[in-house]
Amino acid sequence: MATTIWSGLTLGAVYAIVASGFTLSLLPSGVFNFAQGALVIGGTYLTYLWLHTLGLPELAALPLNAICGAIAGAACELFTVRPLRWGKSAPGSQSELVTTVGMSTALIGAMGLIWGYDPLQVPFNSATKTLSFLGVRAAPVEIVLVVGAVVIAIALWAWFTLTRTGQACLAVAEDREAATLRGINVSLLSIGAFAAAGALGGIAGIAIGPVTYAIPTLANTLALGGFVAIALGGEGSFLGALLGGLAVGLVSAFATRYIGANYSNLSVFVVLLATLAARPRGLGGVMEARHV
Amino acid sequence: MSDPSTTRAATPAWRRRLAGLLAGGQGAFAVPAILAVVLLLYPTFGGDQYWVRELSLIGLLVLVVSGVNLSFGYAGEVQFGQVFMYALGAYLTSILAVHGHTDIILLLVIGAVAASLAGLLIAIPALRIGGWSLAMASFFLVITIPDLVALTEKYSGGLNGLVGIPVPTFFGTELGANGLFYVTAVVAVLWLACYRNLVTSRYGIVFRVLRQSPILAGSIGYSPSRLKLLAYSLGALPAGLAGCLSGFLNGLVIPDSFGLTLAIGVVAASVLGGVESVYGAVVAAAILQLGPENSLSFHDYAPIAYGLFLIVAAVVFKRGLGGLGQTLALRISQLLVPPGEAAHVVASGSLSAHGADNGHGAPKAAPSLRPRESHALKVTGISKAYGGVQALRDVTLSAEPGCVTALIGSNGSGKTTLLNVICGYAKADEGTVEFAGARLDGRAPHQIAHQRVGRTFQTPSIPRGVSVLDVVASGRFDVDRCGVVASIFRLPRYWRSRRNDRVESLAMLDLVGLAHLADEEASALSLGTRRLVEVARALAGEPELLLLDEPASGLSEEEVELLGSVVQLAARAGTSVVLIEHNFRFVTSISDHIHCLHVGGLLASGSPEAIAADQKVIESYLGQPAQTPGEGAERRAAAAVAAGAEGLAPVHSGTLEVRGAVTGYGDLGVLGGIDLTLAGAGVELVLGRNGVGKTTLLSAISGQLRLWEGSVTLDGEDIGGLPAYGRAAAGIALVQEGKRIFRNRTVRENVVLGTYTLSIGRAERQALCDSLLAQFPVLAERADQPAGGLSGGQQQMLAIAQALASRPKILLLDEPSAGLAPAIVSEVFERVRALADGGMTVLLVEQLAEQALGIADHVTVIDDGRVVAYGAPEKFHDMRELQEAYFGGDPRPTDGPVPAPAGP
Repeated sequence: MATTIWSGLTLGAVYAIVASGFTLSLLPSGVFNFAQGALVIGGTYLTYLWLHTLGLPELAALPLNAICGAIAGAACELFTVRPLRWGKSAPGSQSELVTTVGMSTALIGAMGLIWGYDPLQVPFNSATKTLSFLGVRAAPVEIVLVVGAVVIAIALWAWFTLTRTGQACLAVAEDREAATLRGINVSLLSIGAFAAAGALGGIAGIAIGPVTYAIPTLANTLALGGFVAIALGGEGSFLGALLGGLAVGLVSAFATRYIGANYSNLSVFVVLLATLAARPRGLGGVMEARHV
Repeated sequence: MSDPSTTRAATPAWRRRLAGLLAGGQGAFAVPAILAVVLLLYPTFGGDQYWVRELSLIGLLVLVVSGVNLSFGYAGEVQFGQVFMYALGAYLTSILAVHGHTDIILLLVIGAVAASLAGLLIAIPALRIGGWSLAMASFFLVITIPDLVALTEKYSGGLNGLVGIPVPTFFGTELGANGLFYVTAVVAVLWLACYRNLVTSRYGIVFRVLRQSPILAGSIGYSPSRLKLLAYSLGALPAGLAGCLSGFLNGLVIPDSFGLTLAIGVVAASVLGGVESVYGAVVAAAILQLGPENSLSFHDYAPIAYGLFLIVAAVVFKRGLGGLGQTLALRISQLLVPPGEAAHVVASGSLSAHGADNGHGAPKAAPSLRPRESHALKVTGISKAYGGVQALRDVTLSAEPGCVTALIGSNGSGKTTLLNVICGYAKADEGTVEFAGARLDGRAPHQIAHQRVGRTFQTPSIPRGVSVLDVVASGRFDVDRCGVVASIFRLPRYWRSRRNDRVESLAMLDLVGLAHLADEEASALSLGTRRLVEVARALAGEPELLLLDEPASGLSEEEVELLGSVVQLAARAGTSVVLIEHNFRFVTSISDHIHCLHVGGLLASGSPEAIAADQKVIESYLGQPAQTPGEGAERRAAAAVAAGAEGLAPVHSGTLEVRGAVTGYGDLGVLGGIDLTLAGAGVELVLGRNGVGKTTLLSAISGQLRLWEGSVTLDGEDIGGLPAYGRAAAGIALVQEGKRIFRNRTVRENVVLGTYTLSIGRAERQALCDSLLAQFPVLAERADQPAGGLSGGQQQMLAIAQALASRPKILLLDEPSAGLAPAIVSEVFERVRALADGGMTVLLVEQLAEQALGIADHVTVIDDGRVVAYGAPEKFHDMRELQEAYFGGDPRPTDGPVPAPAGP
């Protein structure tokens, strides 16, 4: 039982981090960046590159991943979101869904081309001694992951709530035009948030890689898990993303443990459908439904 | 219309014929049909086995991709779940085959039915969610495939795949490789034929209407939910067929072949081919099959290519290969036959190119509409609140048949809300709506439309990619029903209703003077013309109740006249017409009865003459009687003292100059060269009717709208090149109409957001906000509550406080009184006056002229995008001039021609 909870929390932490990244870029841009999963997987490969291939210390991976992630995130905004704002995007065309899925596919393809499609083990050298508490054996990286997910969600929530720029992002999420009239440079915030989400994904890769291995195709699974987390927790809420992500992980772990491994995705899917049917805006959604 | 016989002789017959084919005219389906026959005969020409197999596999993808087009291109939502339907069809039929049921016809039917039912799995969530939620949920469906396969291992063969699939039989005969090819090709061709018939029938238009706006679909009598169910289950059907065939073609069914890559590839192919295109899917499926699936060296790069392609396709060519091909074919056809000669060649929609010219050739009779049954509309005790705002309070009125009943009232008085309640888009909190002896309240919009209720929208709602004639015809789809089956199989009923659609729609277009535009793309027309198209669409439904929401705004004088005669024609035919309109002249000229709404309540009812003379009505438009100037000055002094006593934060002033401002929206010019100068402290009041360009002027000053011509300077510096956020930082603060505050943020957060442009420390920011809140005690009390919970007046105060927080040089206020009770309006105005007395430069746009005059230092009246009068407020206290500008008479300056610039 405790082991199941712990493995659920570990998995849930991964989804929660992806979901936090989604929310971060979603708030000021209004765009659900499907490539966020690919950005996280990119982080795992970069970690593999620095630590395994080049033999750099883990502390070096931190800034390197952040910088590379930020560049990739900004590129996502520049190529998939910005061009759509040039022309009048037809209502209901959902072009940004097509472009961000495209970006995700291209990134996955690029990673597959460089590193192949077989799982690569990403090292975690900082601490290797397994800890035991409450009958659970937990690897240090798992603890880093779970604590990290909580810290990230709370930190982002606090930043958005307490800082001027964070408040501006929330204002943009509510009413883009009105925010512009208050002097907020909406497109700068949008690209900044994408870059920040990319950096977050890159850094998260350091802790996620050792747990999941680096696999290109995992990117889509992570993106979908992160989506379910947001659907459960509510669009636009970081705490919702955290709780939603952990819930997805727990549902998945319990289904695997008590029903069977093949029921893991199915159970999550059932929970997703039930949530969407009962509360289309999620259990703690703060964003208004978008009227096309 | 030119005489066809003379022009057509100029071009040889074969060129006209070819041009007609290329442009999608009559017989255009012959080209793909011939190609299909050639393809079918390919194996008999001794085609080699490799290509027979490749062509079969392409056929499968054609089925899968064109199904996506139906849900993506026509129902308008991205979904990645098609692969699930494909897998379902494959597994179900292969398992049956393994168990000895090998008859291909039976299996195809089972595959199709199963997939259609599974399509509802996507349709049902799609009724509630859309956009990325639906896309992701359908994506998630795909990753459950391996799990479902593993769980049913006993039948499905598990993750290693289902093997030993026998050769299918066709009425007892075993099908070889060629036989399977024939079946695949015939199924693909038949599906494409059905699909083409469906999307070129009225359902193509109805689906486009749905994609544009479910509201519009309801108003033409179609239930959006039922349409979505239809689109998703029909879209899934071919995937089931393809699945069934894929099992036999591959001899193996394995979950790996139904992964996320294929799910994305299918959507990529759909986008590549053009989501609205029928034949584009064929080309795209061929590329999908022959590209990544075949060449191994390319396989590594395939995902990158797909991905980049999706980005490029969505950004650059939105209509895909199909769209490119269509454009190209149209160009060539125009080369063959110059457009002027080709009376009816050009056609993207369905009606235009077919049928005889029965609409055009017939001699014109005097315009008239068929008489229809007459019923009265009775609205009783309707109340409706949105959040804390009471949009309607206990409204009781009626509209008699054969009469034009007008609804007037200032902005925010609840007119459109009442229309929405009647049509079923808004649910009244209390009260009933009765028409033709039946209750309309509580029914869905499409059910109300069935009662022959037609309407137009304030913002014309016209689907993209549809010709004017088809838009008008869509209005009568509910009158002359023609089902899906009749449309696909082209039953006599289809041809009959198609003929009627054309004749009736052309008649309606003739009525509104747009018959010459019948084949143009409707959404590309100007605003005024689109309004007339909407009116024609509403009339095409032979409505017994016709609701018109501001049909005259944006129309030229001649068009307004034409509209008036058309509306009266409808009334004479027995229709009960309800008209919302701001153009008072127009209203009085055509209506029999007028109801005036004010702040959600019925203020007055009566004949046009009675209403025009009604003091209350004039007040509701122009505001309460002004105080005498003496009183005003006294109060100003008092307010200034009060402001000082409250410790008003120091405010700033600036000089704003607008010179020769010309701008508008799209191709619609709104401002025709406006000059305006604001210098130093004071209130500049801009008056004018609705729709003359007041808000547009503010948008041009605040930078939301770029000037086409002219300049805007602030303190002598040109700010024309600054974006809106830059102008806000430069010191221009606009308070938009409709209390646009951030409702989910607290009151304090809203005020803090106002300080965004100031680079000051946290402590100073807090102090500034505290001092601002202190000036608005009602806000200070609620500082930590969400702003959405405030009353309308408090929200307006908050919007002003937020704008002040940026320490602006110029404060622009757009109708701060809209939707507020009179007492609150006075409070807001006093506040504005106090700001000006404190040294602020204020530009106030108002409809409540009388009251606003009481606080103004200088007045500018604009009409039709130009300054028509200006001067000191005292000059306007004789309200006759204003009443003329608002309620009738030709706009003219108060004192001769206007010399520029107009300034205080």
